[in-house]
Amino acid sequence: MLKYIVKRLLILIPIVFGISFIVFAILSFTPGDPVMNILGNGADAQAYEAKREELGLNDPFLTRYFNYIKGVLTGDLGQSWNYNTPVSAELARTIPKTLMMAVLSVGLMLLLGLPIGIISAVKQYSIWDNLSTAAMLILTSMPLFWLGLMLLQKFALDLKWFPATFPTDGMGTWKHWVLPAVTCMASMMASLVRTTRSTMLEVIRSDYIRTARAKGATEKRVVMKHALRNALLPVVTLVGLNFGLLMGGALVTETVFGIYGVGYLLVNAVKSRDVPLVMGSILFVATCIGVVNLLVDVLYAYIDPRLRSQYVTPKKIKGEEE
Amino acid sequence: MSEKLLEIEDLHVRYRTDEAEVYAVNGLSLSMNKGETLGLVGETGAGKTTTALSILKLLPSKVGEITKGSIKLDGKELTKASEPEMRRIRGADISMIFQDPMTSLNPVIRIGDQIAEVLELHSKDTNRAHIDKRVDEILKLVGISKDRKSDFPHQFSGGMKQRVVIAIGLACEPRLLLADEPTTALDVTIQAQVLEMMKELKEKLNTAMILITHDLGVVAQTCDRVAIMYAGRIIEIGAIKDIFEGENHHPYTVGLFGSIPDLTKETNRLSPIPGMMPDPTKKIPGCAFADRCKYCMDRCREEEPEEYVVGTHMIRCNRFGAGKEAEA
Repeated sequence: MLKYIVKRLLILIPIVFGISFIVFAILSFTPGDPVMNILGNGADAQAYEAKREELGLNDPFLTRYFNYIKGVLTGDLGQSWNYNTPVSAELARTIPKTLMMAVLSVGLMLLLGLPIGIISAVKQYSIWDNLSTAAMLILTSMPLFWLGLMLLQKFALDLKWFPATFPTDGMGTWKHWVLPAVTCMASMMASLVRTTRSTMLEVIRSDYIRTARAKGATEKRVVMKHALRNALLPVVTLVGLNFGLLMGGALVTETVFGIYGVGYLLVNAVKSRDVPLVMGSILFVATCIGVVNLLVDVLYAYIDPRLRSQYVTPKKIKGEEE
Repeated sequence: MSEKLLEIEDLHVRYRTDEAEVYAVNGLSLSMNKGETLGLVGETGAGKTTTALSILKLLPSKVGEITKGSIKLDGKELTKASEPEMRRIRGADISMIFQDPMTSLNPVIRIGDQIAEVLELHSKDTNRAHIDKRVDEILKLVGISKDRKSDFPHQFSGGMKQRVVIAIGLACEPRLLLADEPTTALDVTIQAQVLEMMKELKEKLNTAMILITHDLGVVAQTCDRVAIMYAGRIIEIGAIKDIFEGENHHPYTVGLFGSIPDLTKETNRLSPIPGMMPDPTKKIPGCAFADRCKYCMDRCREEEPEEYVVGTHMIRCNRFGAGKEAEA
């Protein structure tokens, strides 16, 4: 297993470099002038030329790319062209917020979505199942920003339970995170509930569940011990996928609540053609998604022993007494 | 306590879906002695598995329902037993071996734990070490090395899996074992091994067994008595001798035996029974086999034929006994 993990981490390196190359190429060859962005339209030709030289824009594309990668390999992500601050500092400012948001919303999603999905499946077609189906349908079809605004209106402005704005610096208190986390996980939870329900329904009809019942196990034991673990694989996939996506920033939620996270950073950087900042954010997001995918695969193997045997050299088969 | 272990009286089971009501078992009566092996034979859809599931009250919830009749285990009425009572019976007094060993074991739980579970659920002694020891014993009984108890089901072959399933079934030494086509999914050589082992074990533990199968060869090897089911009814029941060597048979039984290839006879074709089983969504007032029967009389269609009993042999057909006299 360890060998497999190391192998996967090594494969991650060329992937991240590949992504960085493609993104760098896109940023270099698409129309638009970053220097104009920085200096403004009224800049004179001399200052313009000096800035181009300073940013290395006069070098050929490949030279620029290799210079950038050389920097990355020595731990230097460069300076943001717009803010004139180190990219690493910008990332250090935004990543904790994004991470917090991802952990909170995925955690909340699991905490609420899993039980609701299980109950829906075990009590199929009951009032609870129908209620949850309807509620999840509403949640999926609701635009995120609208839900965020409504929550702000009700719980921040009317009831004043939670603050309406997010502090520019620092992480805020737990109160600042409640509404963003709820908004962010709403539609994810809906898909989690549906997935959990459908896989649980499938598992609960399988023969080994009947075996468990024939053993005299209680319904609770049948569901929690025998069914749940078998139904968990698609759930893990979904959680991994969502977590990976969230590391790229939950842009809508960040915008509605004014949280300065990775998504916000990345979009602003792209808009202003701030190459080092875009590249830094992309490297972070790509690495995160790669690592999360690896974690999902490792979890798979942990949950399902049939998958485990793909990674582990099988131990010597002991003789079957037949 | 009587010698009778299981008594089923006029059992009716119905499956209800949105599309139709299916009458799966229609007035089945059956009794079994302690330690006896009864073969339950019939074609697909005859209601064999439904009967077994009814005994355990494990019919698919909401869909399957016992509408009438009684099932008594050692004099205790099961149809009226509560769910907790049934849970105490399942696995301990009555256990069931399902048809397909490939799917009846939980793929994510070690086989040792799957066997231990049934012990944990039913034995008073919850000491882990004692249970472990018992698991080792049971594994030895079914011929699996105890080193393998921490393996997962996918690491076993089909025959070995069925041994694990049997080990789970016998772990608590039940009084009644319901074996639903335990060897159908296995190849012939493994079939013989598994059957031989089951026979030995049931003798050792003095367990009664209902062996559900459509393989008459298996029945001849293992059973004391045979019941032949057709469209949710038992149409003929008797000691193994009555069925395999007796003179009189229900026309369906004759057809069933006619469908087996015979090495000693020179024939080009098998002789299948013409026609199909009657539509299970319709209630049949008379003999369910009437439409396919070459001896069918008018009264066969009107009312259920009476039982014709000679010693241990019962045939539900108008060609014999009272029915025959009435016709003459």
